[in-house]
Amino acid sequence: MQHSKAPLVFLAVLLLFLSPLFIRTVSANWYSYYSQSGYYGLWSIIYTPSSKPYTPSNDNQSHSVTTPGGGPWVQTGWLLYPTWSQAKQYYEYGVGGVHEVVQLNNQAWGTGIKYEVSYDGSTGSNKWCVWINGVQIRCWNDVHTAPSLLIAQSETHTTSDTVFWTDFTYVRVRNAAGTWVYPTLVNHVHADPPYGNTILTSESFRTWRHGIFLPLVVK
Amino acid sequence: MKKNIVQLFRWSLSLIGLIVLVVVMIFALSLRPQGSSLGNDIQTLEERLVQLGIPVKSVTVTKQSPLEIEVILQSSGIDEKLGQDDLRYKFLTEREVELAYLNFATHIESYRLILVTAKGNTIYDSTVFLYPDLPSQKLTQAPPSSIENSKAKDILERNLNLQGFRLLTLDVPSSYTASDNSKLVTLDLSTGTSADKTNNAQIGEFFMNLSSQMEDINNRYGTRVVLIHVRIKDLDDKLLVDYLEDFETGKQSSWVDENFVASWYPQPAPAISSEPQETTVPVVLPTATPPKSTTLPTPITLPVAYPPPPTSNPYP
Repeated sequence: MQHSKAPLVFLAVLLLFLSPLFIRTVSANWYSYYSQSGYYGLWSIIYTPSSKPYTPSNDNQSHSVTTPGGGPWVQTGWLLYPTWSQAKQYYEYGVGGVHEVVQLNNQAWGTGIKYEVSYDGSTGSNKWCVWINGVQIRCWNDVHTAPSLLIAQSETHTTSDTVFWTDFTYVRVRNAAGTWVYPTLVNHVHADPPYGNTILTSESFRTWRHGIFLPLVVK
Repeated sequence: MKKNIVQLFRWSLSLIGLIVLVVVMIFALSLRPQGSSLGNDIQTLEERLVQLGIPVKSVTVTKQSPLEIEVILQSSGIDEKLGQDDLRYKFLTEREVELAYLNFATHIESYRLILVTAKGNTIYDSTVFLYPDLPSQKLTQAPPSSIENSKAKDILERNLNLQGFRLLTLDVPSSYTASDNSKLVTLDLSTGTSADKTNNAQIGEFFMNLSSQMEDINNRYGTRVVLIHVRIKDLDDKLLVDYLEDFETGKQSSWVDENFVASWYPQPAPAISSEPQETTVPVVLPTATPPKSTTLPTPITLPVAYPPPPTSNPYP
């Protein structure tokens, strides 16, 4: 009896096309973010989802605004470890393999907080500060020249099993005149599969992960 | 009659003069002990830092009200980079300054921490603003622990889950222990493998569970461990991770050998090199000063000024 191979070929091609949606990987960082260069500050209201998102025991997730890496950097946002029942506000500074993360108060599920990184040209040199809900928390000298590439990002580490769904709203960037202006989200968002993002309005976007995955693939 | 009026006027003047004199004296007296007390507090703070082995160059009051101080440390770094010991110096200094209110009458409202090299170059310069609503500013003086260091060491050796790492040394140094028996634990661990076979997931999981582990041990045994310093090495004694955590203030600081260890902590996404570069001339922006409010706003639920995110299926 003769069997047609067409259905098998079709199935193979279909799986090939859909595989990026189902990839599960290890030992890397995954990002979904907006980034744009040429600015002196970036702020956004970063929301937590309505309930605790799935985060495996060896991973964590963070959602932040940040200056770029490759040298000293500063960032602030919310962070979730799997053992925590609530997300926490945090800020962080990193340089040459040394980093310091400071956990602050909880951020309840389904709430938004305004996080900001911005350049302070009034004193010091290459000074950048982190602000939370309009309150200046900390500044560092010799971080980065301005204007700079700035990033609003969601991030996971050990495994892309980690699920998130985060809204960045009221996104603004500060221009050379010191004015907070709308960002250009189109063509300035990026995501590592299986994560993605959706531009909601001219000032807001959502980062997300598909809720299903198939077998392990090393990235 | 006229003589009486003049006499009354003189007495009034004398009375006013006396009142002014008393007020001035009270004001002067109220200022003098406070200044002296502040000086003593700052000196005590500096002595505590020195006692912890931190190379303090100076601790100075830069503004009395609100209280702002500046701490300058000698960096252990060479080649204009932070040295290995700087991680610990910075970490312990920040804790002592931020928790100074537990020992002193006055709250430090902001501090500047500077590290300078042997050549006098500044390689770290940060200003921290302390608000009453920050976790580090909401601690209360804990009752003294009755567990001595040697007993705490035994308890930790029996109860700390090293999650597959091999224990090299565990110590509770008496040089750190505070008057209320708050303790620092130093922990040297080995991966038991060569650096290129480092299990990153194991490292990340260990650190992410450390705080809950220690909270559990402190609650069960009253050990009052507030700080931990962990060093993870490979089979050949090569340092892979140097990590400090403050369980009271929620602060973590670490150095990792990025050749072998993947970070478990947040960091910036890699920059996209194709980003269009806008050419602008840097301008001096208005001074960014901390706002007058003394408390951090609490998280907002659907704030009026900020539109709520659209609600739809979370998984597109």
